Amino acid sequence: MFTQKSTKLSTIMLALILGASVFMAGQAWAVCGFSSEAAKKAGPQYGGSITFLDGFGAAFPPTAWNQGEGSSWTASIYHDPMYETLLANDTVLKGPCGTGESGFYHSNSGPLEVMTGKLAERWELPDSKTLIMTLRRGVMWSGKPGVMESRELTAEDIVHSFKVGVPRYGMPIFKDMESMKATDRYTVTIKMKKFYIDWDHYFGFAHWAGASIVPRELTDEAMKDWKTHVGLGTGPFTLEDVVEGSSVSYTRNPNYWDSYVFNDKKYEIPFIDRLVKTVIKDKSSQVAALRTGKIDVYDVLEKKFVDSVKRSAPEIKMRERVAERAWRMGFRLDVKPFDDLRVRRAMSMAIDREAFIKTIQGGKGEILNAEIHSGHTETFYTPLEKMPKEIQENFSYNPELARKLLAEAGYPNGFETTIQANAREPERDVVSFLAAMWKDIGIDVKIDLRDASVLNGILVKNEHAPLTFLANSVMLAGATLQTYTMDESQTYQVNVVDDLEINEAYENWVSEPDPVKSNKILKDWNVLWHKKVYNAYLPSPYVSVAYWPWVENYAGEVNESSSMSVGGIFARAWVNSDLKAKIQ
Amino acid sequence: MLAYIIRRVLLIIPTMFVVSLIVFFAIRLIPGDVVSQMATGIGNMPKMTQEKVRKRLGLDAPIPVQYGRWLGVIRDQHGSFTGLFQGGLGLSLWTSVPVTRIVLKRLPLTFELALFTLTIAVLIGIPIGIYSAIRQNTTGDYTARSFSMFAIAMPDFWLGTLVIVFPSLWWGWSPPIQYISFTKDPLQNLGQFIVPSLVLGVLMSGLVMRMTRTMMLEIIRQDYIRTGWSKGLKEKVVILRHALPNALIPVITVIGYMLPWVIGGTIIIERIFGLPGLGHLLVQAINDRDYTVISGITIFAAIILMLANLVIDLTYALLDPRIRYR
Repeated sequence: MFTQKSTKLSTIMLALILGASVFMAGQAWAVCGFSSEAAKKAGPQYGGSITFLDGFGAAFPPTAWNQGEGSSWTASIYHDPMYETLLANDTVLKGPCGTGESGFYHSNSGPLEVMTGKLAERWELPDSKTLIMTLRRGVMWSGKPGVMESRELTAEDIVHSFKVGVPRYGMPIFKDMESMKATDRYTVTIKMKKFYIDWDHYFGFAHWAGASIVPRELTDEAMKDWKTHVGLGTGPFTLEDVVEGSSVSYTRNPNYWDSYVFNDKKYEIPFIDRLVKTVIKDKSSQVAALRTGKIDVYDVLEKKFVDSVKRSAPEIKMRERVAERAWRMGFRLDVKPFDDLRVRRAMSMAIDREAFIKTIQGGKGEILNAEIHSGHTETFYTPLEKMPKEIQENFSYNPELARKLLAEAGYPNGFETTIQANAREPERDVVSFLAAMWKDIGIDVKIDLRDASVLNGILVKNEHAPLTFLANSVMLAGATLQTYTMDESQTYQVNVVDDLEINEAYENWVSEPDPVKSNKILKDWNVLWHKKVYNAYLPSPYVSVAYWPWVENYAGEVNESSSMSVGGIFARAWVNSDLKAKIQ
Repeated sequence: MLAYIIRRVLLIIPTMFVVSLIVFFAIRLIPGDVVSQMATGIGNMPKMTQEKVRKRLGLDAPIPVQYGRWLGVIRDQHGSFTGLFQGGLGLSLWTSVPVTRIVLKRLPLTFELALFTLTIAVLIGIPIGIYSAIRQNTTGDYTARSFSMFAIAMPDFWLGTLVIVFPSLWWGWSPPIQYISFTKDPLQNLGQFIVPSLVLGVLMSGLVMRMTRTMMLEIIRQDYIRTGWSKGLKEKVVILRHALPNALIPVITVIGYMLPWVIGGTIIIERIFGLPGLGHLLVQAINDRDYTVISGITIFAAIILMLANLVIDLTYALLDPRIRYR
């Protein structure tokens, strides 16, 4: 029985709890991106350097410096600190320390709502087939004797960059581009044959499409030599040195156009003098370099290393996220019995995903992370608990129902089949786990592990096994859907199926200019796709961005303009030299 | 002697031809190609684009034609002769950079690592081997023999990883991650090589130690050594002046033949220590299926090994006057 006194006490307790929560939240918010409240108050410091290890870059060290060719697309990773994009993710206002609308994870570009103008001050779509980009005035190319004189960025540079970079890369969107013109010094007008939903990604983040925004003085031949690029660009950093197979270093661009407002005071950026992107191939060496402070920021710390790093270097900050990889176990629909939905469903529900997370993924995994990344909002991502019942069933472990479905499909005693996968870690462990699970419902699986390149060759020829496991990317919705789910001509659509319903829904989505309608179509598309069970999806692992607290004004963002771009992010971060000296 | 040298140099030509055949065709037997690998990285390179790239790189031609182009006896896809006979190793399929330039850029690093490794192996292996032989069946000998067995049995990748992981956990130390060339900063450059050279050198010293011990044991039982003892010569003189030079002849041969092993060892060690040398490049090239780079490195390695063998054979004559080449 409540008394007035107890009610009063409860009210006080509640108030205290609420107060404490608000205080804690306030504290967390107050120091977001900072080592402490005091460090935040102290404000920016100039000088120092940041060494960044990007897991993707480590796998693809700088090889070529001209873009556009299939072989030199990796250049985009190393262009970003010096050659900027037309648009960028608004990591300041919409990032983890802003509204938190996006984490700006690696390779996972956000919707247009979280973007801002970079070289393009603004953009507009007067109709569904026209895109007008208005460039920022006063953005200067740094000059270089013998290459070019310093001058202002103009619309001609944008047109040149796309003209040179794009055609060889073969991105489908550019086949539908009617024209791209510099309609005046600062305006670029792009006419499309049809509306393309990913325009922001391909035109806004041009380097990803194979076209870094480079000065038109640079010939394609000159672009090939990294030494040409030293000192050039509009970005916050300019190229300093390249040690092939080891590192790429950049120095501060003293004439950078952008600035940063902090505590109502305007600062010139970048704060740091030097940015280094390093290449370390060996995982143990990567983690050792992080642990010992030789790397300041490491973008893909795998779950299995997290505890040991926390123990040996407790000061290191981490921001965990679901990996940008969907773990797809694809069924070949042109091979029996996988043309039967009941068989596919049975095999999906014979997988104990909770056990999988515990044994393979270090205890944490995201069960549904495909084909829309779970980091997206529910605007187009549907969490598993909100999926239709049949889809939820496919993801729940139910060997009894699986056996029943197999019996209904005419395989009461199971059958024999083969699964192919990449021979690296984690694939080999995954397929062993799957084989053990399926054995339980009578399916005998032969494991066939191949080198990545060999497996790709097999996939290109459509000679892959009835089952194929791929742990490949799930990032920008358009690119992901096209690569992994669309018609059978796609290399990584391992299902060998050309589903008209799926393809039509996709076409409707890409050609729908109304964002509300298009988001709805995409959301429905995802549900439809999962109903087909062309793939049995496995949970995606968690990875972390790990960084030392002396990198101030930074909260683990690694994606300013599509993949692996950190130039702008590190331009506004600074190094707390006292803290660094203290920790080291 | 001169005739012998000329004959040996001329023999390099057919050997190189056979090596080139093996290198060229063997790597093409590995399934998958450079374009597949590019597509694997990009993730969404359409099949049509893959075919175009394959054509541009000349990979659509029959393999014997590709071999002819690589040798420089058939025009390449751009209509020029750009092969071995023209003094080139072709262009990297991945980067379009001349392979000779790529290899020559990475070669000094691997050479430096190999040199330090061999030096350390010799500095550790020979003294311990001598000690072990002249103090046969003592605790010191047993310890030295155990060390050599340990060194021979220990895989380089394992020791390399331990050297990276444990110091980082215990003392917060890890090797430098950015390579600095000798010309830029000699001290820092040497600092970068100490640990990887020690790892490889210690492992290789096991073999040198075993060989030195065995040869020393054989030599110190010879009559002329016994004579030395009976003349009352000091141990230092008997061992270092009379026994060691003769014991070292086969040891030098072994050290020479360790060169391929050193180059093989650098492949893993360079990767673990982030040293961008030939080994590092070779692993990357194999992963990328960059045939021209793989062939280029292998040809370079083959030339170095053949020349090293030649030098070892000629050194024999210098060390042992009984040996004369005709």
